[in-house]
Amino acid sequence: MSKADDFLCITRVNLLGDKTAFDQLTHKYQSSIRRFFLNLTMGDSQLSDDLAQETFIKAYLGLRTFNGLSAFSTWLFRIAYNVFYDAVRARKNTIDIDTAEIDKNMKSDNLFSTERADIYSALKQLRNEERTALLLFYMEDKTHPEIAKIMNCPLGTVKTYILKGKKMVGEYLKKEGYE
Amino acid sequence: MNKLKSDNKEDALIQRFFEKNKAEIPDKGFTEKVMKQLPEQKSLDWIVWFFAAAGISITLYIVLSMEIVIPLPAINDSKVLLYIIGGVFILPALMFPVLKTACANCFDYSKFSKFLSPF
Repeated sequence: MSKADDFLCITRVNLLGDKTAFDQLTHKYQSSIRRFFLNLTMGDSQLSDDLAQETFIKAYLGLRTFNGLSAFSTWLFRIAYNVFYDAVRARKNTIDIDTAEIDKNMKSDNLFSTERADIYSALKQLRNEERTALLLFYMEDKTHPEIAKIMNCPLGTVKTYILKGKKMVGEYLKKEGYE
Repeated sequence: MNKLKSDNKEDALIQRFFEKNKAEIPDKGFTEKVMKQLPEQKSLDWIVWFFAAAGISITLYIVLSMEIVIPLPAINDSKVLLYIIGGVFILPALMFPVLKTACANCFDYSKFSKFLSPF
């Protein structure tokens, strides 16, 4: 599904109230949005699914405000970013505190192999902003300007986040024997 | 130069690491769950009906009360003019539900989008 298809789906939802068009959009973007949350929450699949659901519902309700100046996926990630930080604020940083629970999930869930545990350990070294920028850049293949739009911060700040994040993850990987 | 090389090496290492961990997450009913939770949006059909009704009313008012358009040379019979103008407003109102159903059920947007994709 191309960007033109996305635009057609959005038009169908907005003009005809066609829910099946939104179903197509959800199906297309569910994997990247859920993966984004899964990495941000350090592998808490239940929480990441809840946040992803909230993101899509908010996107549906606010679809009329989508002006098409940026790609739909950028707009969707902007909502996801806001949903995540709203959740962090609402839970008063319990996402960081609940690491024991998450570690338990990582061990019990088959989805999380040793490699996946490694990525969460690597991401744990970073501040929230650095982690978000790095994930959007490497995992979701977003460009620097797109990340700046998603995180609503200057381009230079995004570059600094990525640079710092890269340095820390690089050091961690070398320490863990990755080459 | 050495710093640049080491940066590139580090960048490649990080890129490989993230690429290896970039797994597609299977839907497993997630989309269905989202669709069930979507709230019902208010229908905007009323806009069409409102303007159709307003158009018909205005037309009737002009034709019946003010007699402005009746002396047009091409149309001598005022009833004919009434039918024509009324039809202009009634037709879209009648066609709207038909078109909406056709678009929702029959029209394959994926075929249509092929023509739009170059733009």
